[in-house]
Amino acid sequence: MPDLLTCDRHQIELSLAPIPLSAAAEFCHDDRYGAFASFVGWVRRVNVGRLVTGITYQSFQPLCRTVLTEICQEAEQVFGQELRIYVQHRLGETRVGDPTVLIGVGAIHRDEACEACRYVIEELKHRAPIWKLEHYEDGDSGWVPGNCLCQERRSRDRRGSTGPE
Amino acid sequence: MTTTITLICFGGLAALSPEGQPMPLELDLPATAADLKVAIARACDLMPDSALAQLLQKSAIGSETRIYIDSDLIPASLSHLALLPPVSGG
Repeated sequence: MPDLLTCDRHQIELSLAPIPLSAAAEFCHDDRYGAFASFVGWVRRVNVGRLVTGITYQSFQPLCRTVLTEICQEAEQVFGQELRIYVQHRLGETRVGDPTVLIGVGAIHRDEACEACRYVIEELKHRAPIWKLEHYEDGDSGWVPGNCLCQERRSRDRRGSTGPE
Repeated sequence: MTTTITLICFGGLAALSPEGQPMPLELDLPATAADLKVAIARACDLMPDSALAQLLQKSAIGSETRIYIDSDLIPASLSHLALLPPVSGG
């Protein structure tokens, strides 16, 4: 299955290769748009007091593409059909400082660009079937606790909520 | 009716399937996602208080197109499913 899922309005990519940060702006550029908002997540050096050397990302890719597509469609429903949305998530091994997720939203006005970008990253963190195995300087590794999918379906009503990270 | 399901385990639950291989499992139908998790715990001889059993409790079941929460019935037509522990993307 290809790692790229794209249509006119959104592009979703799960990649073992490094994320090119210019990709979101290039996909989202449109002469109709006056605004572009983006979010980049990096591997940070310290997590919960432990020195981190890197993160290995794993995903159930078919379902992940489905979930990310749903999130993009929800963002369009909430913030406007005129959006263009780019989502790329890194898989495999990463090191401190590497970009791990890139979200970009192009829109006519800044409000919907910023709000849709925030919506997509928050929903991705809560719903996308992606897991991270964190590696520490002392040689230990551990799966990072996350958000439970098993008890209720997250709805659009929760947009704007923020997590601990 | 009993069916055989092939399970792929992700994240911290990868420890349930040696060397990351898909895990076959017999399941009595009809079954909810919660029933499936009970069957997995039984098949893997998990102690109720173990870390893996607790992680299994917090996990959902997935197909390639949707997530099944505890109360959802697993369709009899599905033969390949995924065990989805709490997610931590981003």
